Amino acid sequence: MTETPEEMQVEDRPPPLWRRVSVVWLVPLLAVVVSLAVAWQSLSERGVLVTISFEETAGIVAGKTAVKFRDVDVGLVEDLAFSADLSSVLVSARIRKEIAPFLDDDASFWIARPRVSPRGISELDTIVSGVYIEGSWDGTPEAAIVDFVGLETAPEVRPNSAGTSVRLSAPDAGSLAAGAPILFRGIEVGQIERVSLAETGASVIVDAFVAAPHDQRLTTATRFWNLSGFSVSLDTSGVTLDVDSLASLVEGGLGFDIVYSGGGPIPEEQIFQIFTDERAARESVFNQRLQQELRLSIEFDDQIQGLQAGDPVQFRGLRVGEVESLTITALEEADGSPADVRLLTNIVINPGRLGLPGQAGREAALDYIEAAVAGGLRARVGVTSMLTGALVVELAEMPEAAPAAFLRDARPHPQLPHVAS
Amino acid sequence: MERLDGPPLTARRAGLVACTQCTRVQRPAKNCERCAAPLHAREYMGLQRVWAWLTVGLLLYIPANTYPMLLTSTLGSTSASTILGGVVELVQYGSYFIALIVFVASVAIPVMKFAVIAYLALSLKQMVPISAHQRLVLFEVVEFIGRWSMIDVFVVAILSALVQLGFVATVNPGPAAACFALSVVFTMLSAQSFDPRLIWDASEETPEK
Amino acid sequence: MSTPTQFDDAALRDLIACPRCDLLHRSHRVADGCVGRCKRCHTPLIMPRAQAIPRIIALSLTVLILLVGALYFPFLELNAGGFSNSASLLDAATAFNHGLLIPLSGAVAAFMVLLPAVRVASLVYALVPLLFHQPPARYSAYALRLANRLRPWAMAEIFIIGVVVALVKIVDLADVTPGPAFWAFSVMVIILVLNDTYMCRWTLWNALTARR
Repeated sequence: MTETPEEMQVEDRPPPLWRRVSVVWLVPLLAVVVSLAVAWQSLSERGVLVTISFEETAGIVAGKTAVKFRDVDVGLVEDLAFSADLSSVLVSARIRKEIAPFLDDDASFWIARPRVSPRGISELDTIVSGVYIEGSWDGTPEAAIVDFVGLETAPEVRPNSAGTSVRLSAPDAGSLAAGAPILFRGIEVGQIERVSLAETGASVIVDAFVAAPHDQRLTTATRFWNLSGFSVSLDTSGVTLDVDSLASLVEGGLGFDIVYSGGGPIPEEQIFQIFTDERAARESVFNQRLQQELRLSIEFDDQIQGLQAGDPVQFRGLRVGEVESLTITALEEADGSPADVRLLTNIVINPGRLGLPGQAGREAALDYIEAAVAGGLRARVGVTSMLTGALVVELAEMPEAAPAAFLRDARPHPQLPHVAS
Repeated sequence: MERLDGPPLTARRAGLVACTQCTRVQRPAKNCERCAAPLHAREYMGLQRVWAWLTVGLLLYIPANTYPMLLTSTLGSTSASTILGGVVELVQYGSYFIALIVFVASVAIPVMKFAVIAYLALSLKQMVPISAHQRLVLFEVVEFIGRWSMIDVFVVAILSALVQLGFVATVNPGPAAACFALSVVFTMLSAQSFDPRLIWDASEETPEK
Repeated sequence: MSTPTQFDDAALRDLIACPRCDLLHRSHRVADGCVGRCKRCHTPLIMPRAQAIPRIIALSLTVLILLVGALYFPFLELNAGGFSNSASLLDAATAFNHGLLIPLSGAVAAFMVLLPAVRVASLVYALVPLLFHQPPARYSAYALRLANRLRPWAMAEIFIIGVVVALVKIVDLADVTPGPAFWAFSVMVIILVLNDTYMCRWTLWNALTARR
């Protein structure tokens, strides 16, 4: 048994941690934290990667070419790759995060390059600054997508612009070209986007765009006419020379106006006709062309020199239609023997004016005509005015004419029999 | 620090060598016993390396000035500027401060280095009016400042990397950049090969003025 | 010339010779923050700093971290009248990439980035065992020697001043925006310079060999 209290075991207490570890370790720690913070921030702000495929990517450089929207940089091209079948180039671009939701399926991209058009030279600055990809989309985000097919040529009219696209048809393009202006009382309100051939090949389809708010003037009462060139007319009232302007003489274009009051909104599939000049457009009202059209053709075998498109077609002295075009056809015979070359006069008539009840369909109209032909309806060329030599196609009732057939199934239009004039 | 009596007792006089890398004083041997660095009492072969590197540096300095340093092409027209040409342009442009910096870094300092190193090397054999102390100061200045001549090379590098705007403006380095960099490198090597201890050896052997 | 005093091996440990004028001195530990100078030429011989080893390691690690950040983030961006170009640190290093200048590209990259990195890395390698009171790692001596030899060749601070000069040169012509890498590099340079103030060769080598 011990008498005296024990001695404590004295150990050196190690100094607390904060004294042992130098404060200098805060420095690398701070460096790590700041670096990670900056890295995190730049990663989270990174844009969305979008793929656009083009057939040609002239001048696009990975890492340099910008993607612009309304002339503001919204992205950068990161990479170029080929599609699986090498038919197109896939451009990967990183688009800013706040813009990415707007890239839905009505977004379109094209490459902005220097362009020469009848309107002038545009995008000239890309020669110096390098090409860029321009995009267009509307302000309403829908289902966002990331794969796009780029347009090969820059559109004439910026997509998603406010306005209306219309479709028109004309016998031939004449001087109408993409980019030509559409004028309303001399003020440019739109542009022709595209001029292409109709499926039948007998006319030309023009796609045009009229900007807001002028598209409000597009009603069923609107008529378009060709501005280019000039027209001379010689009639009982004298000679008139009509030129719109020197510019339209050179550049071409379309004009339009509302030619009568009370027109309604245009239906979806409306195709406007392009009249040769303003006067024809205004006069067309009286023809009520748009209501019903029946196209027929006649193979006059005697000379029809002087007959031209636009010449009236008359029935009982009343205008029922007009000559649409004169075409040459070479159709193979049914039995395979070599084709004959024929000269066809294509006319378009309003069956209502022939006495047909309105709202009858095409078949009913053809039935009617077939009956009329059986009853002696023939086509012939006549002269309206000795002074001008203007010709007219006359649908005459001649019960005593030789029997002839109405070729209902002829191509391109049902064929009327004719008699000598 | 205590000084031992008599003429200054240098390590060499004591028959010892101090390692240049780790400062350990030891008996002469091939390698330092502590850090295994090669051991020399004085820099190997005396001044031969100093003169050799200096000559190469001087020779390279000539093309560094005759060839262009920067090739600038703006909107299709290229212009080449040498070191001195660049300085003159800067003065004409009005940036006197930058012109001064470039002049000092690329012309004054290298020339001064050549002169000082040569002078120091020669001073070991000849009598010179300045003291060993002052020569040591000169040496330290040269050794410190020498690397700052590289500034111009870095300026060329960063400008070439940055100004790449295609047709509108492009800057590319010229051959003088390489020559100048090499000249600076060799001059640095020359200064490094110069053992300042030789100054004191010489001043001990020849009485100072 | 008088006969040199004979020193025995033990006495040698207590000597230090001035690297500039070779004068022998008796060496002993100097208090932290004080400087022991050469009697003749006043070159600093021993200048220990408090807590040199942990501080050198910490600062060296910081340098490495900042360097990685500087390499990865954008360095500079140039904007002139609608045209823009951005350059990273590596772009500056590889700016000499036409033909004859290619070796220069490697040299510039070395001066700017590689050599400073190697230098601080070798310092860390050599000193970390000392921090934990362990015997030094193999090749610590080589590492410390390397760090010392690379000192004049690590030109990071010259590079950043060069960048500033270049920026001032073109500030009238274009708009240059420094990115995060620029600031990271600048801070790195400051820390590098700070790091050097803690490096007393005599103290470090003593620490290294004391544990052998």
